[in-house]
Amino acid sequence: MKERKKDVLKTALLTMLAVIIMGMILFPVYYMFTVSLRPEGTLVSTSLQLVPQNATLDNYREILFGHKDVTVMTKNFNITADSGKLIGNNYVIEFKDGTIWGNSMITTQFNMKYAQHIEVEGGNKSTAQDQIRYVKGEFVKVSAKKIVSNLGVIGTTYLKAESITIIGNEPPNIPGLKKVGNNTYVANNVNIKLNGRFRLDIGHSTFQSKNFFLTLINKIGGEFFGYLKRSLIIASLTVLLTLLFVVPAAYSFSRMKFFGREHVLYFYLMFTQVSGGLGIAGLIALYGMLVKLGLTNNIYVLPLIYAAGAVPFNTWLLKSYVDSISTDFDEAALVDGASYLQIIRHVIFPMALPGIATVAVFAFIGGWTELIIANLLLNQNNYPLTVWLYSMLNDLRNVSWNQFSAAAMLFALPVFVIFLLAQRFIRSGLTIGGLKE
Amino acid sequence: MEKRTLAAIILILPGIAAFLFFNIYPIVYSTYIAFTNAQLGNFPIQTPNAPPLRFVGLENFRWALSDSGFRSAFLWTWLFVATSVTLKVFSGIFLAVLYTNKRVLGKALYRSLLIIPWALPLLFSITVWRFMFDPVFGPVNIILQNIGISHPPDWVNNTVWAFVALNIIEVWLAYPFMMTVVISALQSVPDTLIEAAIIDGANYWQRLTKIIIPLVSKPIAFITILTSAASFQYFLVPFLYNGSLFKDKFLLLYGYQKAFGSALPQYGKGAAVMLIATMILAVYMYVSMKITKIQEGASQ
Repeated sequence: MKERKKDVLKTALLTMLAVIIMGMILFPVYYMFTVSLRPEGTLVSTSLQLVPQNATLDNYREILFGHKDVTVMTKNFNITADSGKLIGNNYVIEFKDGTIWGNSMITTQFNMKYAQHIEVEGGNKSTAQDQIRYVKGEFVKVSAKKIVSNLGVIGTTYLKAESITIIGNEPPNIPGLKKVGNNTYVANNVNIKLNGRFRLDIGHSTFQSKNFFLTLINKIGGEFFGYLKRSLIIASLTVLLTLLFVVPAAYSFSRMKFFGREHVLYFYLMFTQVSGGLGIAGLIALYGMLVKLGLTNNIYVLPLIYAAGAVPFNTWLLKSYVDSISTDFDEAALVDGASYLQIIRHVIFPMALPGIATVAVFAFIGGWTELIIANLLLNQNNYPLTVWLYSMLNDLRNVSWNQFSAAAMLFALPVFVIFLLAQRFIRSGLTIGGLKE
Repeated sequence: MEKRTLAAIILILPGIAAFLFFNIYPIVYSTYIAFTNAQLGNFPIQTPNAPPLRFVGLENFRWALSDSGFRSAFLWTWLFVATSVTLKVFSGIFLAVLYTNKRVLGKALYRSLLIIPWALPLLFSITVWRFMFDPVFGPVNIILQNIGISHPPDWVNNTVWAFVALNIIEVWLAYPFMMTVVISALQSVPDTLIEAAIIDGANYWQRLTKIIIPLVSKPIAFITILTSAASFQYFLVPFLYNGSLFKDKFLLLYGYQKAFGSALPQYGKGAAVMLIATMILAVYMYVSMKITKIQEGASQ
């Protein structure tokens, strides 16, 4: 009985250890996923959030579709906002649920981030890359997450708000203003007129202006589908070329005897073990060759390079797979009077499909994920997903980890899904091919 | 017979031609570049004001041997091979033993979940780990702060800690392969041998170290060689993790940075560095293959 108790305890402890270690190993991927669901600006904290609070798809939306920023240059303005700040020379007014309107003596620039519901009437419209311009229009109305005027409005400003807090030592004269602390004053239901210069820093709000001088609508981000398209083109062409390079060769190595066959195969096998390093070592010359041939910044060259580089591994893999198909089938078909082409088409090809699928999956993943050569050869207008991610990784000051992890998830998901779907094929392809497992 | 050989050649030609043109020729051409003064202005295309491209003999190799960056990269690369291979092999064996232990319930499920990192693109995995180790936002440092370390290390910019991080990342990237190979080897160990040892009174540790591990030593040697070659060729992970910090810590990265990583590319010197690395790797692979007969291991 004591023995048995000890046994149960051991089983419980070891199972717990196995689960904890697995949890630790898989934690990073899970955590990255939760980060992509968290609202921006919530990462600085002293505790881990294992389940994201206020989970949102905003990061994915931003990565997929981008957003619009609007800049308006005008003298008159009317802003209705949930909250915001007016920064004067001697004091700062923070308000809740208010409206600000007025006339500036000089044309003032208002920058609106994450703009929606943009309405513009009149004006000369012109369209440049990612930018729409309206000059001297009659009316503009924009809803935005944030409105900033860094230079500020100069002139008369009216503020009507539910409540205000003023911080500063010389507050303006406002009826009902109460002092609540050192340099801090509050008031409710105010309707005031302010003079002088105020900079604006306003949260979620709607902006309106009549007879504006200039409105610029800038599209920020949202090029995801362009990167996706190029990645898909590259990966698909890599699959096509790989099959063209590998399928006939694998058949030939498996079924035909010819001079040099063993040497080439042995060389291929050796090469697969060091291909990563040799690929980097040949990079300088490859770059030189392609510059001389004028083939840089061309996404259609990449599939050729990728397919060629994977020839040894894939040929070896598929050759081993075809080897596993007994020659008895060929001979039986031959006796029945089938020609070689018929044997290939009706006997070997259908039986080799798992092997061919494995090669195709590897080729697709290879083309989808290659970074170094693409990064070296392509300019920004031709980036695929990988180089785009790399450029974001180097620019983490301007890209939040939340958005970046959403982008990384979108990049990894297809590979992961393909791998899971093709797992059965890959297993049989690889096991018989004898390379892994 | 003649016709058959011709058919075979036609069938293997597209693949081998592309391979020779895009892989072998660049390697040969790179070897040539390593013996020239290729640099900004005379490579790939000669410009009028630059010194003409010419053969300089062993000058780039002589430069490499006396260059402090090259020496540092050489030493760090070997240090990384030593540390990462040890960690990878032991963690692979440990995980394989743990997830085949008969006392662990539900191990088939854990094993299929543990393969997940294999299915993820490398670029994604490195991104994940770069975030894990981020000095400000990364969960590693948040956890360290929670357990009372007020000044956790900078895993990205401090050489020593970043090197530790690279080792952890490499183990994480390599364990699915190591574990899978060792597990399939362990499963081929006959139960009767272990039962006999139990009857003879051997405890678990003795059974593991005296019977099981020696029986699977051949596949372990096989993966050790493959994985040490991978560690020696380490490029993409340090390049993405912190390319500028590691530029003189890994040979291939050093060569790459000489050629493409600065405003004054020195293609000849970069090619020489890479050629030296490739030669070392070739010798290493050849010797290991001779010693262990890896081709048998590969076809097993």
